[in-house]
Amino acid sequence: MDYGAILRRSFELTKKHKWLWVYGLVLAAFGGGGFNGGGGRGGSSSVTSPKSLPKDVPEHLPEKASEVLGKTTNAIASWLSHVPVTTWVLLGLGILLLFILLLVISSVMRSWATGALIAGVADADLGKDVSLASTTFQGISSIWPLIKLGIISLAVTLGTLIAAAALFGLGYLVFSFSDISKVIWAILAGLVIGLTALVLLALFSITNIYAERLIVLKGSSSLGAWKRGFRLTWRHFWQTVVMGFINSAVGCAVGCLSTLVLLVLLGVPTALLVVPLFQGGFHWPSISVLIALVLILFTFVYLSLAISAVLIVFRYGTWNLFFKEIMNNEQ
Amino acid sequence: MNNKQSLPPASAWRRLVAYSIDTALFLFGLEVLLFQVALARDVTELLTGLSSLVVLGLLLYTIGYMLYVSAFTTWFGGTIGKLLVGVEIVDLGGSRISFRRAFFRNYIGYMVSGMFLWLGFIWIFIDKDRRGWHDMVSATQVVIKSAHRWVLGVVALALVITANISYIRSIRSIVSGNMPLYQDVFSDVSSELSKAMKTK
Repeated sequence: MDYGAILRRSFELTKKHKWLWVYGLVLAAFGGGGFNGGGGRGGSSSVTSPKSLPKDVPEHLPEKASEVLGKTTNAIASWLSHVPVTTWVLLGLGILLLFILLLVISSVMRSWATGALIAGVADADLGKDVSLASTTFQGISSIWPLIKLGIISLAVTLGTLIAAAALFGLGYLVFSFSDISKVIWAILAGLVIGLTALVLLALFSITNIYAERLIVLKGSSSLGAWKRGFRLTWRHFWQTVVMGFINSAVGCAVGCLSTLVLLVLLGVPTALLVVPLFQGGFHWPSISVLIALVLILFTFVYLSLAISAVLIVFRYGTWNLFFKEIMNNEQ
Repeated sequence: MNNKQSLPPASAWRRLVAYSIDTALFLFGLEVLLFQVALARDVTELLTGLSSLVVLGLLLYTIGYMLYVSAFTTWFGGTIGKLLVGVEIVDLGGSRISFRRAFFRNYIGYMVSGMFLWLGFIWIFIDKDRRGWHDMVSATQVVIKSAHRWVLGVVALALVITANISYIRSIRSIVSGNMPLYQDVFSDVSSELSKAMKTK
């Protein structure tokens, strides 16, 4: 397996087909960056924190605060009791409906972007022209199968965790006739069952990488893709793990470097604006300083998002090319 | 061949007028709800009004608006704003789109377009077919159905903006009239807070 060639080719495809960055943006915003092990998320906030607290904190603040809150809560409670029950019921239903709608929309967006990106990278590798219009329908047709795959994956993961916990618990009950046997069981079983569960969870995580591509590129059903993906993971476990580590290493390197650059470029002006606010006691910033801080924050957020988007496309490209090699070897 | 296939794409400015009309109408709906809150004469009515504003305004109204946009796009080719300026959302073959595609375009598509500094919307100005990212991902286009109706759209926009301004003024005058109520509520809370602070 020529990992170097895969990385180079993925870089070329990412650089050339910029329309795929749009899908990367969606996945960066809604999650779904894939098996990445970190990196590429832009890092922490660039705003520096004050070196010391203000000196004029009132005494007995916690006690007073709880008493004040208690009295205010009583007043609010008596007001709230005048609101009709139907309003509360409608409010609860409305919040639930909105929550479900947002959940559905974000699942649909993630699945659509995943499918479209996998298909787009595959088309790009074949030399085809790739655009939003040419890839979106492949993404749309993958929405429901990918959502089902997510449900299968979640069910299997939860099932594994529950089975491990149940096995541990059952053994503990069986060996509870003496303290020594309980301790021995707890240590040995904890290690064995725990490690087995961890290995299985890692396998399931890797299985998704294959399963997604089997669904989008080979038209497999969700369950069929998961099963076949698991078999592929089992057979090519170490190759896949190595690819994952390389992908993560590249992602981390680029992510850390970009975070460092952003921290320098944006952190220095932020510090220059914020530090004077705490000199001689805290005082509120002027409008122009507030606007400048907001602009710096937005710049940081959007640049981080853009870098994450490109990294996600690169990772998907790497996994696609790796998948192609594995399937060629299988044949 | 469908006649709409040969219709010219709607310009970005015409679409902007349509969007402005829709936004102004959406805000008008919220102002009606706010008006009900402003009419409150005591604390109970105020709180009931506020809770209704949250329930009706932020939740049901928002969800209802999402469904209205998709339904109108499916049935009539666009929202009220788009119909007033004489444009229509169609697929690449010139036909009306389904409810699912309209929902996908208006929510998934709009999110994609707005995600990165509204670049997907700005793209309408750059693209030769005047398509934004939300149009590309849903394989739709916005075409001019009636070339001269933009005049009606501009007039409608002016009227809706004027209605909004006068409604906001009414709300403002009612709120000014109810200032004693809001001051009572504020002073009740402030006095309870200061009593609690003085206790210790």
